[in-house]
Amino acid sequence: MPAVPSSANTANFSRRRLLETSSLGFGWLALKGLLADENSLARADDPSRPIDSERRAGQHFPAARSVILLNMVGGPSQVDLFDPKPVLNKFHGRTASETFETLQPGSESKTLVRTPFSFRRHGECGMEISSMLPHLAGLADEICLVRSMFSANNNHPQAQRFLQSGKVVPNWPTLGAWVSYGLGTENRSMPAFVVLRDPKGYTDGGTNHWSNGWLPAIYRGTEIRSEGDAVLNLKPSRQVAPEVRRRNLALLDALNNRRRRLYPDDSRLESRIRNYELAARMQVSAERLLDLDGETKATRDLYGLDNETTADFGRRCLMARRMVEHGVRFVEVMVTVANGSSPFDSHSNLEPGLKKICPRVDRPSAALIRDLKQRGLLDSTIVIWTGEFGRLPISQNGTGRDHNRNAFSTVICGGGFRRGHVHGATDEIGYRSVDDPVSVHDFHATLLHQLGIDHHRLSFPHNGRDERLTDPEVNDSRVVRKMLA
Amino acid sequence: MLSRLLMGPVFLLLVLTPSFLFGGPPDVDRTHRLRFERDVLPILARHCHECHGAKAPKRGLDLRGIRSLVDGGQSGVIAVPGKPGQSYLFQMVRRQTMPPRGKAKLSKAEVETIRSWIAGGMLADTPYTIPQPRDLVGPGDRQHWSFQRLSRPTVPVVNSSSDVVTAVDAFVQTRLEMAGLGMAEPADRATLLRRVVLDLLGRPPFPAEQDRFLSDSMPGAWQRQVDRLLASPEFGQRFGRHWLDVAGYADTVGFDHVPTQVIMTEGKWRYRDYVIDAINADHRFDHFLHEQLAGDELVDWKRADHYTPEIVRNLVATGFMRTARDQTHESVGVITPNYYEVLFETMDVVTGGLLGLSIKCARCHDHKFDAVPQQDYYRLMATLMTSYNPADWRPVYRFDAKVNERSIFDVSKTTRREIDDENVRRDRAIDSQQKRIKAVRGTAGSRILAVKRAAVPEPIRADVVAAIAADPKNRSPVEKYLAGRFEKLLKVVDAEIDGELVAKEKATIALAEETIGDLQQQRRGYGRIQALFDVGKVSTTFVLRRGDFRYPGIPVAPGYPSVLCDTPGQSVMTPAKVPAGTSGRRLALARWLTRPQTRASALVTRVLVNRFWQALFGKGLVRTSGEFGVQGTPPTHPLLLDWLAGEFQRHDWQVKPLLRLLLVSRVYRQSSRPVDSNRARQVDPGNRLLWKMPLRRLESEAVRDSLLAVSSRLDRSLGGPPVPQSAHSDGRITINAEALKRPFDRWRRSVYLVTRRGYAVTVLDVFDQPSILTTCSRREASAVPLQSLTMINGPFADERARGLAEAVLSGARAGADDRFQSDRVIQAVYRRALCRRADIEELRLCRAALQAQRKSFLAAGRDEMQSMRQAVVELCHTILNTSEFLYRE
Repeated sequence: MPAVPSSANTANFSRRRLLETSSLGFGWLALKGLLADENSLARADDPSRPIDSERRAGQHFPAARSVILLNMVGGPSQVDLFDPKPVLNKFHGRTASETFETLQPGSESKTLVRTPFSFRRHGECGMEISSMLPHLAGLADEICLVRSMFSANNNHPQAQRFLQSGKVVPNWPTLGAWVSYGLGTENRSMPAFVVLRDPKGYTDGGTNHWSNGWLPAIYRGTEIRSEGDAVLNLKPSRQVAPEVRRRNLALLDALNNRRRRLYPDDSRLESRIRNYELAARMQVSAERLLDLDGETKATRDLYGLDNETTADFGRRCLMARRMVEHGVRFVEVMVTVANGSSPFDSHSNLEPGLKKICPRVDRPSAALIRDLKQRGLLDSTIVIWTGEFGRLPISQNGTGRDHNRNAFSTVICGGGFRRGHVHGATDEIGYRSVDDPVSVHDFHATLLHQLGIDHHRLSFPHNGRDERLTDPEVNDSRVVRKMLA
Repeated sequence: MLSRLLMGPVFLLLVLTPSFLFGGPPDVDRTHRLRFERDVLPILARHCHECHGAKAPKRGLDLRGIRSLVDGGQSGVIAVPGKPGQSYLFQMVRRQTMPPRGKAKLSKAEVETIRSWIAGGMLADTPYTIPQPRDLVGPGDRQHWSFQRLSRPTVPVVNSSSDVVTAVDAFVQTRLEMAGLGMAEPADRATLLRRVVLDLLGRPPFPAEQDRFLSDSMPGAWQRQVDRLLASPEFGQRFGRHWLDVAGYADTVGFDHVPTQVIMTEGKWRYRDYVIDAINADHRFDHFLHEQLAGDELVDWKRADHYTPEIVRNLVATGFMRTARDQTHESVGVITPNYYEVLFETMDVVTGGLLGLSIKCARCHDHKFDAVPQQDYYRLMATLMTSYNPADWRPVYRFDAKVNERSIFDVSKTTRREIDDENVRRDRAIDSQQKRIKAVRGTAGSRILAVKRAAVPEPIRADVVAAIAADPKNRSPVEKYLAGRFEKLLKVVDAEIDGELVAKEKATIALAEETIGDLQQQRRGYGRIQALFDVGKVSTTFVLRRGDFRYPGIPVAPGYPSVLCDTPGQSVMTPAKVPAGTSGRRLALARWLTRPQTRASALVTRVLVNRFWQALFGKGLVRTSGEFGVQGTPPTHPLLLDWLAGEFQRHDWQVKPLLRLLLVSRVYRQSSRPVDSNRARQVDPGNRLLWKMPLRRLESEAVRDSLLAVSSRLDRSLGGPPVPQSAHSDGRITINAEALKRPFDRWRRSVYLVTRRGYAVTVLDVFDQPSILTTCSRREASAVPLQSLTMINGPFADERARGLAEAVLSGARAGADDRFQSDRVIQAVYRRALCRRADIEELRLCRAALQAQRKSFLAAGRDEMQSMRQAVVELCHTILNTSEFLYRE
């Protein structure tokens, strides 16, 4: 059930007041829609959806209902953050004999470099995490740390697409699109798949990160902005007096309904009318979701909203929690951008670079997990903290590390994943995942499994083939049971 | 497929005349040539027999005798007499793929022995015969309905003849009657007009068009209306877009994944214009296909002194083959994997777009469902590999001066030289005219200067002149002082010279300027064509194992999908006779696709005719319009489909007569909301039998074009470079108003806006503008809240509502508030936007809204006229937001 109270009279009353008095005059339609289904908020799939439900799931027990993906675009360095390598420290400065796959020049000398940061054991499980991420480390007993991830491509756009869609080529449906296709929406006032990006700009890859590919457009991620207008065209492009607006919408509603009666069988006209209502509700709810004034001082402090370093990412993490509370299926939070580049992309100045970006995301990420837990939402929400690949154990031009698709670390938390658990391992220097390696497709399969979806059966016909996110026959992907509680 | 090959390969032996026999009695003249038993067998025994000679030879290949060698193994024929390049045996030992890792490789001399033995005709002492190419598919595979030749169905006789106007009706009515159903009553004329104009031109009819049709009460009015529309240039703009979907056309290059970065190649849009022109001219569709696949092979452009318009058109047409997302537009992209991606994507366009078969699975393995073996895929791909030649790759874009890009000038070398020479001459002439002007003005200037200098006291005059002439940076203090004092005084400005010029001088200048203007007008330039043409040496095509170019398998010769041929022999391509310098492979393919009475042309025309049906009825007779294979759905009206395909071929493959046939049918003219449909809804809820006209949402382009049309802004002009867009940081994409050549380009039809892979202007994007990767056979029509938000809040709809209000009010008296006046306004809005009259209830609702809005604006302090205008704007905005506006009934 969405957390929006649906039976309390006081809540109804206040919402009604809000809608009636909404300065945008859009409230009239929203109210009309809400009165009709005030008590049937749960699981309202779009009636217009043209997809036969057989292909959609093959659902079993659902451990989790929603996903929050904290996307650390750029390739966070696993050996400096999550994956301690004493051997690397020991052989610091020596030349490695291994052949390394690199992207850029600068690593030819193959000089092994130790991490400038220290690792310490945390929690009862004794998980080792770097001093750069003290807040996430404080949650060691909550999280499942996968140290044996690997990807298929060594460059950002391709690897990000691979992480999101299981393909390196663009315009394939992304994880969020698949999940909202598979599970539908659970709320009547927000889209199923929401994206929260840094208002300062896009990361490498633009809107590809939340593409619906060739899935119907309804499954595309909707960008909700954390500043200014929350949704594209959410507010009128010109000033309209509320009563003028209200009359326009009342007339529109009357004309549309008259016309709809001529086509009693056609659900599309019905759903178009409902869309105006959803649009109206979005306007109200997006406003409310954006309005963080109602949050307590304790919550604001938890996310670090009043601290310049953590304010941006903290604000978007808090919005993510509110979305999930509101029944949004999939929230993707993009990392804070820095001068148009990805801050985790440590080709040079690794130490100062990580010292700058880690504090920006560490506290808010941990706050999100704690907050979900204290609200009883962590069991039904999967939180993922990951980049698209890792970094090499050798030096690039003395101060950085080049890309490494052969090993990276991912944190998964909640939604029935094992707690206080480290899954898999890399080789002695952290170059390659060797024990229990987890492919991106395995990761997808496991994620879908926890959402109650059989990854073999979630499919969509495209150009003569029933396409699937994990393409199990080709990729040999499987659910990684060891990661599950 | 694979299992079939494993179980029972069928060998058909050629009946050989003695001259085809290899071997036989030793020929004295040939004794010096290599022979199998003497020269080759020892090498094979040494290196190969360990695996390919034992009791169970690996991969079914036994190399112990000439007969078993020519029979080949599971991978097919391994040696072709006289053709080492097409012989797997030679390729494997040459590349050292065989013998496998860990075994001794053949020496260079041994490899050469094998090569020259094959090149010399594979002589052997033992007589042997060459097996005919094996049939790659079984007879059952050819049984699928869409692979059959066209049947010639007779038009059925129907009982209820009143509903049967054309043959199309007879076919549809027969099926309806069998189900105990009938067609809906005819739609009223206004609905019909809006339907046909939206379908054929992609916008609603203008008031004048409505008047013309609705007042034509003579018999044949409908036929005349249809003919008018088919003759309109807008028809090509609309139906051209349908074909551009098939071609997967985009103006941009590469993956095009960065919103703010639009990379285009010069002149790519000319292909878009070619398509629109060809459709407007109702160019025979078979010729249209020939030009698009092989226009460069139809004309001798390489040796032409001057390009005729025909040559240019044919070269531009090959843009159809240039729509793949070619990533070789930057130096890092010029790598072999990208070459093959272009080939694979172009294969998708050709097979999916023209044959309605998605056979991309056969890239890596035999197709699981359709009878397309991997070998067939690569035989077809061999057709493209003379132009997309991995051994001689042309990058798509000139990222560097050294790049030999994949585009050509739109004039011949000779013409280019002529133009260059002319321009040099012209520039010289312009130059001399400019010198003349300068001289005349100089003379006048020195006259003024002389007068001004005379004003400077004589003792310092020379010093002053010297000081001013000196470089300002190097002036001495004295010079600086003097220059400071006198420089302004002694300066001659243009305006002074203008005043000083005498009549004769003025005339000289005017004449020179006129000459310059003329010269500049005569100046000629040339552009580029993004064409496809053969490059480099023809190389052998290999089956790529797992679709990976690093693992070539057996070599294949160019050919056609076996399942569309009657015998294996027919699937071998004979290149077309073409001008020198090109292989003729693509032209052979193009002609094969359209040759009458064949399985291939039957499939091609079925796919085409089905697309035209889809363009008018929303759904094809085959619902899966991009999938005619086993995985697709069978046609709802198979006889009708074949009859239409036959008509299409009989009418010289012309589209307009075919469309006319459909448009004048009673089926097309029936209502979308039958009065009595209870039974039909139960029997056939999906309307597969066509008991009513389906309701359709407008495509993205039609939404935008309609908004422009009803507000009298749609720019219907033809052709030209794409209208640029800009991506904003808030996620909106709009037309880039600052980069427009003409201000009203912002109102051009949507087909002329820059076409990108994933980023269309917002109003198109939210209405499901597809991001086409290779080819698109059907548009989505979703209903998402972003559409509602865009229409109700977005600036574009708002601006168009104002436009509509202006258009409506331009004829109305201002300030009148009588009921008659507002009713007239409401009816005018309905007429323009919805092409019908408002009924009494609608009139009442709108009138009430209009009056109430007007009062609100008056109360807010606006004057009478402003209030009325603004109230009408609000009404227009609401009408544009109605579902009715977005649907065609």
